[in-house]
Amino acid sequence: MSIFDHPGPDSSYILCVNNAGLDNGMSVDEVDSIFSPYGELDDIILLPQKPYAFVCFSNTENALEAYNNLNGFQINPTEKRPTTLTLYIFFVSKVPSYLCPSSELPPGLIPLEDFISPEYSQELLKFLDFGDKQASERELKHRQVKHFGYEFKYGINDVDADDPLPQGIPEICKDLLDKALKTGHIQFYPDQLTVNRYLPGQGIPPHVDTPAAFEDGLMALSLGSQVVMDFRHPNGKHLSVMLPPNSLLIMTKESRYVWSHGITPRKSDIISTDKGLTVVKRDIRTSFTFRKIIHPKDRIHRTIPNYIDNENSNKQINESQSNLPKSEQEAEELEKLHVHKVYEEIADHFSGTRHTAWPRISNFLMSQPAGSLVADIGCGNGKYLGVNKNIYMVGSDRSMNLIQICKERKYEAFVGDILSVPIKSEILDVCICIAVIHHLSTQERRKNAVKELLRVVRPGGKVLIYVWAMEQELHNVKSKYLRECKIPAKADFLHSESSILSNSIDCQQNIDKCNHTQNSLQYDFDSKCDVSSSDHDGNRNDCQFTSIEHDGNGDSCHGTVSIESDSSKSNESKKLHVHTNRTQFKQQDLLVPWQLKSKDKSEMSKEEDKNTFHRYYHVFKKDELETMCQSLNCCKVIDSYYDQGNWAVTLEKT
Amino acid sequence: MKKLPIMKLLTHNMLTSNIIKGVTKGYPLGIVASKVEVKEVDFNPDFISRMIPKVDWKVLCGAVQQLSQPDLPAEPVENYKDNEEFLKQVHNALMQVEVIEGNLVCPESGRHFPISNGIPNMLLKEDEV
Repeated sequence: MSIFDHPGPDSSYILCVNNAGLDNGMSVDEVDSIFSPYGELDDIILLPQKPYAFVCFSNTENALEAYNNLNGFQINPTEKRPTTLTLYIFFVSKVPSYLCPSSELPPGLIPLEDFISPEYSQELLKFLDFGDKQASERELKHRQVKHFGYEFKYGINDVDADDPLPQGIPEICKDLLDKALKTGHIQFYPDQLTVNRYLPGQGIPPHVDTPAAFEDGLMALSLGSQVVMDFRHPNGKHLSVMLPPNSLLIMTKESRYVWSHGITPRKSDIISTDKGLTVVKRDIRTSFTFRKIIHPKDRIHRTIPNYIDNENSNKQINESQSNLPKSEQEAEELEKLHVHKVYEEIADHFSGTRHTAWPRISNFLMSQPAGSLVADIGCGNGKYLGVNKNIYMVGSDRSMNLIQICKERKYEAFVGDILSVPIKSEILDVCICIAVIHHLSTQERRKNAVKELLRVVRPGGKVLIYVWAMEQELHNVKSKYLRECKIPAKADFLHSESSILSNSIDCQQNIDKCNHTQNSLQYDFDSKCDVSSSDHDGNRNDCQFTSIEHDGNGDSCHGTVSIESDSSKSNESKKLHVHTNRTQFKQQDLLVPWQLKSKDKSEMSKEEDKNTFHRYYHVFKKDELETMCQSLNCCKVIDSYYDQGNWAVTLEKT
Repeated sequence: MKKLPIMKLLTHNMLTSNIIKGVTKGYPLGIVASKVEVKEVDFNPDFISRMIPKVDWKVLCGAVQQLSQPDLPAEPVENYKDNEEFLKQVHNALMQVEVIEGNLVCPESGRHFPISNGIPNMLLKEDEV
């Protein structure tokens, strides 16, 4: 039976429920009691430290009913949980990469599907017969286990090589082991076998098999049920690998020595098929783990292969890329690493999404005549796509994950690049481009982006552009980014019908909480980031909300700070400096850190570095945007203004 | 009322593949759809009337044909603003026919842009720009 035989519906029936996560103090039982009245649930997934839950229905109708009834639903406070929680729900057609098997594999990992026949599998299971109690059998907390050859001692993660078991590797395994050797991926005939029997809902904690105790090339044969195995790299990277029944997994090299492997105790797995996501229940799974032991007397002469070195050299490459680009290729590399990749990761976790359309942009869209054709290039989570119901709006963004969020909100959107906008020339009435161009790393690329925006609008059509301003204080008024956090005014929520996102009150409470605990939480100004948190590795926490407003502690800089770097004038390689959040900008080209909050202080200090990553920005000086647009000679600037720390222009194509 | 991702033919009417290096026209994009649905969307006659002069009519007719949907007349009918039946036809083509899975195909190079879950992916590889 293939795992794809599951009669799933054609489309997503998995709901992401914001504010129903472990991080909000919710439990599986509580989520179950809220959602189960709407139909049979396949699974509820709550992840450590996440402010959201995934609720998997067995059919779309039930999921839709739950969505219609529970979106915006409020959960009253309890003794344990002092705040009211408001649920915000959306359908997902994609879950974070660590929840759903991806095509990427840890290096050195070799999964071989249909490695044995179903008949062979039956024979192996019959041979084991877990019904009887043998001397070597033990009940572990999470599963049943049997050993052959040597007993694997879980306390020390090792075997006693001088104390072999009476029964070696069973003869019945010979055929499959011969076949495995013939693949060339393993060098030794194994002499130790551990058989585990997992009931649905059982798992095994992440671990690396003791490097000194076993040769390279561990093998795991899966029988009876599929399971998703989690692989984690010490740098935080987390990949999931599907192990179908009758498959053999060979772990070699980096995947064996560096990555940990484990199974999250769950009753089902989420898998992606060409029809969308589907939930497959786990059945009883029996795994055969084959190892070749290294005898203690041989261990002293051996060195464990060091795969960590590769990692360090990678890191150095990344660091060396943090210079101002000198060529087109370097610019692309920089943006790939410090813009595209970051947004993709941010978007992947839907948590804490807040959604406030900026009033002046909403007003601009509202003022367009009915029937206007409008594109939002770099639309992020699509917060402007539904502002005006009488115009046709389509969004484009470089990030597939962000576009998926737009799509879940029923907006028209596609994945595309601002430097190659796949829209026919001169057919749009209006194009908007909010907080995008400041992510392009050369003057040439920024100009080309504006050219593209102008290309797609008809003569007389309009282009509205927003970029982040170097000047975060104008006429002695500090921008929101520098100001102290406050509850956003009601007027900000022009877009309340689609605000499936956390509300301002929650936001304020969270901020208060974080301030009290003195976490080094930082907020991000950019509207796009309120889509969700960023979670570098799928394993840590998210910033559940973003906001901007903080007390600036630097002196006002306009006109007084010398601009150290001006990419348009200099070809020298300049190191990009990392900006200190909530302060005035000291240079125009910089990396803005995104730091994830952590409630657990000890974890915070340990993992601070891993929780920080950087987006590239070129912040614009007064008049810079206007001058650049005028230099293109195909538009006139009909409006130009400063709006909450951003420079904005409205162009008319001539 | 289903909340599932789709691509509408009005969006198709705007898209081009002339972003590919060497491709000059890239329009209209062919549609090879493996999954198409027609879903009910509120009918707004004024909106549709305003769209008619904006769309490339031939391209819309071609798209409708490629998706085996009811044919549209070769030209918009006269005085269509008052012709509710016609506007409904156009409404169906522009707003209700939805491509969920398939490919958009560049008419010059044959390059396929996948549509998955209603999302066209128009990103190019580095050597195509």
